[in-house]
Amino acid sequence: IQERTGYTMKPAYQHWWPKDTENPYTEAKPFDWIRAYHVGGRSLLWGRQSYRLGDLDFQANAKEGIAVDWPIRYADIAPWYDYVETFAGISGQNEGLSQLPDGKFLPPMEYNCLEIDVKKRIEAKLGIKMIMGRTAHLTEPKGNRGICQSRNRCMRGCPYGAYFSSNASTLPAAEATGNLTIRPYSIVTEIILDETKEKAKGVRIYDSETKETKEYYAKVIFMCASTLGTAQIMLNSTSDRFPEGFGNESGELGHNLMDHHFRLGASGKSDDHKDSYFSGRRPTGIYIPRFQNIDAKSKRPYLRGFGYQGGGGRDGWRSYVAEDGYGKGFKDAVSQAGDWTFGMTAFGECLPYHENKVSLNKELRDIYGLPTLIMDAEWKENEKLMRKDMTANAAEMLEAAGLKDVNTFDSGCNPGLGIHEMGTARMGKDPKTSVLNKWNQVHAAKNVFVTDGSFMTSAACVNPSLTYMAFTARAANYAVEELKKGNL
Amino acid sequence: MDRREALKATSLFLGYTLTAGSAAALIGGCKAETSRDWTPKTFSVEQSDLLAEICETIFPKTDTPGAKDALCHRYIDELITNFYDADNQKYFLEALGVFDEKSKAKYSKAFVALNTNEREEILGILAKEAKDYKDDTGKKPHIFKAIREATVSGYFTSEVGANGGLCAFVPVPGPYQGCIDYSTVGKAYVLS
Repeated sequence: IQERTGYTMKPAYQHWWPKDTENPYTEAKPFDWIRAYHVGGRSLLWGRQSYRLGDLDFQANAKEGIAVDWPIRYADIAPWYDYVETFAGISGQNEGLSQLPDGKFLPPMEYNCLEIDVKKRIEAKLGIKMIMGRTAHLTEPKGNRGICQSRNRCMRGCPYGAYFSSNASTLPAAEATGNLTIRPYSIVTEIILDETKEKAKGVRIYDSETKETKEYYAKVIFMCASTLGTAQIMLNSTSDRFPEGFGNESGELGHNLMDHHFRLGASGKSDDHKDSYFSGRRPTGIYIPRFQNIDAKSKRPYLRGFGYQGGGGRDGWRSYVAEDGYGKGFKDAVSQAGDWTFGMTAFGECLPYHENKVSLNKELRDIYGLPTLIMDAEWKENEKLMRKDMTANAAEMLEAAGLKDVNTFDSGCNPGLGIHEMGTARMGKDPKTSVLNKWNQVHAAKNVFVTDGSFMTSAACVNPSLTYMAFTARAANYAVEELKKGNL
Repeated sequence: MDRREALKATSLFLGYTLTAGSAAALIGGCKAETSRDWTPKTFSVEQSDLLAEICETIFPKTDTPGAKDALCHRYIDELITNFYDADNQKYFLEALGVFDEKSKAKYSKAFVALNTNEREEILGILAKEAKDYKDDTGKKPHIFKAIREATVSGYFTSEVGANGGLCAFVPVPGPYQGCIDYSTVGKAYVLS
């Protein structure tokens, strides 16, 4: 399963992913669950694209009568986006777009020659904005962290700490407080409820090295076990008070599972700029922010929308692997850079559907003896309809940009493959229809905060990690205030 | 996760029609063994020697290393051993016979006994065949196509090939520059 991405099982980083046989799950419908269980988790392996959600996203559910309303608006979270962008170091540029809020950015990465052409042409001919991808890579030094050297060795873990990861950024900051204890090899099996106080007492863990079970107690507990990991732990934390899983009075725990659908777009090539090249393997590309359903003019026959990630480059020896030829002439040809090419792939929003869910399977246990998950989620009509535009619009843009041999592709994808699992413990205003309140607190146990992707009430179409970070910082700050007031 | 890797993996399949084995080997990090006392795993020593000469004819030593220096034949042995199933291994070994068949028919000599011009002549015949060859199953590529793909892949994924000067090997480029004169590099990059 961990190789369903087509890029995870390379010798340089295949050790990061867990063994499927030891960590099984059940696919009621196809679902690709790509996981990482080491210290630092997927922060070492993420795509690092960093975008804010805006009010277009926070208001969408309410305006369209989909699922439940977000309990907050952009103004509530904007200062926390400022905070985490400044802390993590995000390179990018402010563009003044209503659908994609500006932020506190380090200098952006450079466009290459072909991208400059494509940007000019699609903005002039189609009025569609292209921006430089905002990415969690340092373009200026920050503390002990150095700037990105464009090596493209990111998934091995960066020796310069040039991209944001827990290991390079938050864990050293936590260590500096003198209050950090890391306990690896600890698998949280459940949250322990203090039945008398409407609170959690602590967590029970299983030590994968010693095979011991231990309990740890705390005033405040933050659940950040990655969306489905958190759902699994909470569903497994049952008590007389919560027979259906921790804090699950609404019946929404495990439901409303979302991901982004992608792996479709277009590519083309250019005969220009043969005398130009670039230097370095840039850790980001261009981004085309959502341009559908943002105003009356851009109305489409489906809800929400999609953005594109892509970029220009120049063919190298890989493009010759399948070419005819042999001998000295062939070898000489291979030594030269080939055509400039440009490609882009769309990432689309998925609506929150109650019936897209995970549930607990007590019949199938993992090697730690824990109940596993059953995945039951699928793309529905809205996503399928959107996908037609996602390829067609890509081709229109590349043709408007004057590229040749424009081809579209749609490789399809199961839910999960976007590795943006979201929504299984959503926030909301009403405890009857949501698991968390507007501070990421479990409605019925206020000292438990859930700040990974589970809290997402809707998915938007942008990469979600920056949003998890902003909500986590906001919730942590709130927890401290509440502790000081004696409310927790 | 690293979407750039995903794009690369997909474009590899989308843009070019690679045979299944060589695409998997490229993504899977197939690597030739460099030890002095190496012996082939799937090929006989004779087959391996033949393969080394075929690879060298495809990518000859010039002022930069050739396929033999880069141990492309060892890469192919590794590829066939690890990324082909038993059926396709059998197919590959049988198909390899065509090089000697053609050279015996034309020059009454084994391929390894031919001079460079003669070897290129034989590759020319097979290249033409490969071009017209239809592989309906997608699993039995023309032998010359399979070897040529693996030679190029094996060359650039080896240290000797990557760092041998044919293309520009820049492990630590420094901050990205979007537009520079091609002449300042003068050749394609090895790493993407």
